[in-house]
Amino acid sequence: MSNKNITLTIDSRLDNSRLVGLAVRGLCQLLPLDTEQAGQTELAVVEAVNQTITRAYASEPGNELSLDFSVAEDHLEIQIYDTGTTLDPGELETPDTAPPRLDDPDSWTGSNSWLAILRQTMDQVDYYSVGGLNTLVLRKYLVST
Amino acid sequence: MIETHSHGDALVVRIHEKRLDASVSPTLKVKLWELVAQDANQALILDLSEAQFMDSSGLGVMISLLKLLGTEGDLKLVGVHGPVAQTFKLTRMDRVFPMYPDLASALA
Repeated sequence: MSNKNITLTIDSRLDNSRLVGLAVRGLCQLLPLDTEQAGQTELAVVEAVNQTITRAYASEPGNELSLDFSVAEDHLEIQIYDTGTTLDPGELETPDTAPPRLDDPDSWTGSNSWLAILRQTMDQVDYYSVGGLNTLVLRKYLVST
Repeated sequence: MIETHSHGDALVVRIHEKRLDASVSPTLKVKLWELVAQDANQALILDLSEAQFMDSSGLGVMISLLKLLGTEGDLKLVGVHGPVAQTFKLTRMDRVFPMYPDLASALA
């Protein structure tokens, strides 16, 4: 089966992540993913888009963010491109924070939850920056490997 | 967006949103904080049964509300299911929020 590709381009507004999420939901319905896997993929892409808008573009509208969806025989790959502030590659290696504790409100942090979500929902997460173009790559295998 | 009604000492807040995402989270946070400001001692039950999706911005609203109420506050969640339950579980915040399958069990 040859690769199938879809490209989405949105303005850097957080409310556009809903549009992306619904597009991912639709795409996942055509792929061999169960309901839970499809939901996880939708969540991961929405988190990645939110993070890109807030980190790369400081939540400022008027900037372009592109997503390439590529469906291959055994995996779905999503590449998210921006030209804003580059993510510190070390951030992707940041260890998960300690589990939240019931008696410690300081541990009820939402910070880095996007990273924890990406790590747990996608099979592969990569990030690189070349010539001012930042690329976040998410890969989800469609069959067990 | 929200609908409230009282059950004894508890205020039940039904959230009429299918997606708790960045499109609605800022407004939802304001509305929920306003409710707490009106009576911080009242037990709060959030009914999330209509929600089919929640990202970390939606989760952030819940966390901010929990922090606002503090460890002595009384906040319960009902109707958490599917992908919304997944978000709580993936971030391990299911350990912090008291969750009940339905309103009757939360009120019991």
